[in-house]
Amino acid sequence: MQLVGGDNSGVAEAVKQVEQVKQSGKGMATREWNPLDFDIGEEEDEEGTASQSSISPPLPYFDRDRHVAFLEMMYNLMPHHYQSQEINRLTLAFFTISGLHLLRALDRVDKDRVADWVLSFQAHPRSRAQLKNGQFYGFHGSRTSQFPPDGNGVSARNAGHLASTYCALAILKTVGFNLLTIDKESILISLRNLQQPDGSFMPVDVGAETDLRFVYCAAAICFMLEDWSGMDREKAKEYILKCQSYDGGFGLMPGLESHGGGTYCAVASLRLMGYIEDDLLSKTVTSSVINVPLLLDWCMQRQAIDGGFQGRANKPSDTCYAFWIGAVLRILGGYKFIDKIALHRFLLTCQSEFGGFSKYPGDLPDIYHAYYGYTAFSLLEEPGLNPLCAELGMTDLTAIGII
Amino acid sequence: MDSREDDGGEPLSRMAEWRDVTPLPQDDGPNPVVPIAYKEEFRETMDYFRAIYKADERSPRALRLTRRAIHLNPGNYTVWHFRRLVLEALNADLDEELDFLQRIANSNSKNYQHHRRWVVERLGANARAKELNLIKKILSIDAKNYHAWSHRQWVLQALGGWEDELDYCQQLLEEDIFNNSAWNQFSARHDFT
Repeated sequence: MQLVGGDNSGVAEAVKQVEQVKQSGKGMATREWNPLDFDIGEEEDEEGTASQSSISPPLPYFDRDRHVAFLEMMYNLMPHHYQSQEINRLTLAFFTISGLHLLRALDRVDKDRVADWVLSFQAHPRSRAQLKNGQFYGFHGSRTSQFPPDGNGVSARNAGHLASTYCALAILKTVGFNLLTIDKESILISLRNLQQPDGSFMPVDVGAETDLRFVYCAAAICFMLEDWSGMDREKAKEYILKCQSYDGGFGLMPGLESHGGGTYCAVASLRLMGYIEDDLLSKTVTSSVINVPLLLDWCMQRQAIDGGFQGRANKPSDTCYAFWIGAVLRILGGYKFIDKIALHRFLLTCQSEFGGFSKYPGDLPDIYHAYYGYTAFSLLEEPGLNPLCAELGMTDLTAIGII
Repeated sequence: MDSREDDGGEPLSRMAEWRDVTPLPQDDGPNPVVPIAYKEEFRETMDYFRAIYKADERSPRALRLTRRAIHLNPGNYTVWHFRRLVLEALNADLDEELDFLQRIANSNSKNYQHHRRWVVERLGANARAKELNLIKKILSIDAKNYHAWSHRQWVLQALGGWEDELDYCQQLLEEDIFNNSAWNQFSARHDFT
């Protein structure tokens, strides 16, 4: 396995650090999690059964250098704890690379090599006829869903995944790769295979949950490829609207409890698709496709007494919702209404001495909460960080196309 | 049932049963980024899975292998999908499959929601009581588990049972008046019925 980085001593050092950390039993969150799930299933162990709390008081400032070191280590080698995330490898890469960009440390990355590696995950149809066979010719998330063709050139089922495709395109844009040069037609035509009659999206053709996360991925993919032929926006909008709950937030599916991640996917998708305009709250708009006052109220209520944001009513504050809900407020033009000082203080209690951020104060960090910690600090306009494009979840520079 | 599927966790390369299979290592492409420091058991299991998947072998040992792979990375939809193909090919007893899913149901339930629904759809109304009870069990440990509530709504929509849901919501709210998931279910009753 060839590791990136011309200087082997840097890699060896990273591996040594990882081994030391592993042996000490510290430094890595060991509970199961999935970056696609907004920690929905995590909330069971609120007691922090897997955590090993740091006893040192939180640093009173955002320690950029420590975070860059954390991301560099991940870039070179992820500890074995992440093997259960194998299927989401590209997502892990996205968090790492986009994270470095947020921290203005993208020089740590070999952009051409990254682009080549990401492109190797693209699922290619053997003929145009295959584009209608139901499979999605986007990007695989890992090698465990990607199989080389046999001697006759026949591939085992070879289908891409929506979330992986979002991550792949995001990484390519981040490293300055020109998306116009990829086979976007195959992506867009086959993307339609994943849209359901009710407007929602399956993430992959072999069957899986259909919910707002994948509507968002589809919208972001079309937005990045600058081509909406890949989806029926009207139908997607109808599905999104059905997800708005009685309290103003959005559940991940119609009928489900309003949730920070679902609300982000709903609002960001509508914004990307062009159904809500910029800075909605400052306009004297009397109508909108969604109930904006109720949504605003729901968002504001999610900032808890400890300064952090909770994902749902009466749940504990969690680092990542500072992004999911903060970004919604930013999109609507309501970010100015939050208590930034209290949020800043809360987030620092989730900053890890190993670099990165944890889900809850004092816990061990993981790459997912690290990334959304960085995006949250970017929304807070932390000095030294690149500004964020809220609806795409990556830097403004990337979104606009400036390398 | 358990012992039939439980192969004891011995390395596959040392098992006579797998002697005829050449494991297929991962081809991580040019200059990989974020490589993961796989443990040997993981690497070996996935190498054998790749070999079986490529050969499209839908056999009892393939079924056991998917179980190993699921244990190591429960979110792997490719493994779950292949398991479904094998279950169909073997004409497996889906009641047993549901029992298996219920045994492994825990905080990772979110990873096999789709697989679970595939099984329940085929078992039909007979699975309803079992499923609703299992979800109650999960919710008794974590009353706000989002995936459990999502699955509960799906079961109720697919197989019925909303008429008893009011009592259940009231019970949960008596235990914790701040349980927002229960409030939401209370409201959803009206939307769905």
